[in-house]
Amino acid sequence: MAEQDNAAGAAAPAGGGNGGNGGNGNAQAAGASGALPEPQSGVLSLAQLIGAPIHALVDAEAQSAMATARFVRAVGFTGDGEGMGDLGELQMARFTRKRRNADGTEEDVEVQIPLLSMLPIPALQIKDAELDYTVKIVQTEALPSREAEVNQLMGVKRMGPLREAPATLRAAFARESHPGDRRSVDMLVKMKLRIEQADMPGGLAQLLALATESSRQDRLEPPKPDNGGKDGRKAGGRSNRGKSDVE
Amino acid sequence: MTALSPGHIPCPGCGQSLALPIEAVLAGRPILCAGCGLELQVNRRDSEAALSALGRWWSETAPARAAAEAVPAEPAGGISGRRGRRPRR
Repeated sequence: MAEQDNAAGAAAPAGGGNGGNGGNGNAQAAGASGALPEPQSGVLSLAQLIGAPIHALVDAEAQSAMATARFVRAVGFTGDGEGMGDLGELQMARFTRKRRNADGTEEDVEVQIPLLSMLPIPALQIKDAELDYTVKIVQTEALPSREAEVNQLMGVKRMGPLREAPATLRAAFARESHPGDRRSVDMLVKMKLRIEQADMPGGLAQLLALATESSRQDRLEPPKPDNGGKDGRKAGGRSNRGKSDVE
Repeated sequence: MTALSPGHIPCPGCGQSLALPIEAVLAGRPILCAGCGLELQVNRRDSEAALSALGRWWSETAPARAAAEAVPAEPAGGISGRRGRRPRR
């Protein structure tokens, strides 16, 4: 590799001749402790470089799901919206309507509708993500700390004729190459996301169905003139569902 | 009752899909069923907590709704241009 910048300073002996004392020292220290050498600024293993955006996408989806759950908790239930405490009851909006009976009389009926049935529940997911990578291979190295692991997994016989441990590519993000740019640049890191409203998860659909089934209608008792305005709730209160008061 | 699309419930009178506009609910306007003429009137006293949560959500999402309304609709693909010119082969 012609490019030997500061990012390649921690080259192991197999990777680069100009690693310098710092690089060799780091390699030796790594071999002694079993830990990976301290990565240079901006330089990661290629696996980490590729995996990091994917990991970020998974994290983003998890955060979106948590946001949806918080919304359902905060708006749909009477319990404390924060934390994982008791959900409480379904948050119900109450409406009144007039119902005409078979005998032609009208009565007031209270209709309770869960708030969850009235609101669009936000549930976003990443539908499509394109990841294009442009990286510059900074160094190749055979990490001493991995030789023992590789020997155990592969067996010495399966190594190449030179019996070398597999190399690890370390890279850094690079600028996008322009036409006429003579530098060899492998890939560009481009992340393009398309986010759409997710299909209703099965569990959430069941929750909404249960919420809708919780809608109920209760007959309202006609206001009693004796109570006047003392207790409006009792005067216009609702009776037990499906039962009529007989005095 | 079966779950319908958000903001819709089966009409308590006829079972048809009944839209519940949030603005109308918050404003206390009656909800009318186009199928049977049923009129639902929100009980503001007994729905105080629910209306508070609904109003809070409505106000917090107001900027998002305004932004969504401001975005012009994308033109359909295919023939473009005022005169509907076809792409050259």
